[in-house]
Amino acid sequence: MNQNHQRDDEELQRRLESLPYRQTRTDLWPAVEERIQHFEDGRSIARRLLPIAAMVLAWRALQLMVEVPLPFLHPIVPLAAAFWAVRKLAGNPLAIETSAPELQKRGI
Amino acid sequence: MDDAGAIRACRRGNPDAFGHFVDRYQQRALAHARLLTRNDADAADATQEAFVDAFRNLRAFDSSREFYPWFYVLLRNRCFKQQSRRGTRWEGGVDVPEAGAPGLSEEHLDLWRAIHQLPPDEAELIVLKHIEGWTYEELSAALDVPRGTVMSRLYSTRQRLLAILSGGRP
Repeated sequence: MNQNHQRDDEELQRRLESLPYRQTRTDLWPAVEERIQHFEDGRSIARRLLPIAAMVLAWRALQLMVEVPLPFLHPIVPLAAAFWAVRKLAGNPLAIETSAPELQKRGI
Repeated sequence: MDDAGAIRACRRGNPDAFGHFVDRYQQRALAHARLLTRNDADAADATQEAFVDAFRNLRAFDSSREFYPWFYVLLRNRCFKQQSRRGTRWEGGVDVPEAGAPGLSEEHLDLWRAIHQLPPDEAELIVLKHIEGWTYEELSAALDVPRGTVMSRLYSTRQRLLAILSGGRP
C-alpha cells in the first residue's frame, strides 16, 4: 500500500512538472505603460523643480543670516525662481509660436 | 533583451524597457493571481498593480537575483490586498478553466480543475513547487513559513490532490 502511495505521489509530481499554464489574450502592457508614464512624469517634475527649490531656500537662508546690500534683489530672486519653474514645466512662455501651422501661415 | 538588460535600460530612464517584463511574465503572473483571487478580473487588476509596484521599486531590486521570485512577493501582496478590500475570501468555490482553452489537453484541464478545488494557499504551494520549480528555501522565504512546514504541507496537499483526481472529496 505504501509503495502504491509513493508511486502515485511520484506520478502526480511528474504530471505537475509538465503542466502548462492557461494562456489568455489579456495584454496588461498598455495599462501598465500608462501608469508608469504618469509615475515617470511625476518623478521628472520633482527632478526639475529640485534645483529651483534649493536655490529659493538658500536665498531665504542668506536673507535671514546677513544684511543683503541690494534691496531690489529681494522681490526679484523669488520672481526669477517662479519664472524658471514655469519654464521648466511648460516651456518658454515668451517663445514665438513656431508650430507647423504657424510656419505654414508664414509661407515656410 | 534579457532581464538584466531591461533593468539597466529602465534605470537609465527608459520606462518602455519595462515592457520586456510584462511581456515575459504576465501569463505566469495572471495564472498565479487567479489561484489566489479565484476571479479573472481581480487577478488582472492585482497583476497590473504588481507590475507597477515592481517598476516603482526597480531601483531597490538586486539585479543579481532572479526577477520573478522577487516580483511574486509583490503580486501576492496585491492579491491579498485586493481580497481584503473586497472583503472576500475563498469559500470552496471552484473556478473551472474552460474546455478548449488553448494549449491545454483534457488531462491538463483535469489537473488544473483539481488544483482550483484546493484552498488558495495550498494551490499556491503546489504551483510554485512543482510547476515553477522553486526550492524549499525559496518557498520558505517567499511565504514566510519554516522549511519543514513547507515540506509537510506540500505532502498533505499532494495527497488531497490525488483524492480529488480519483473522484474523492477535497
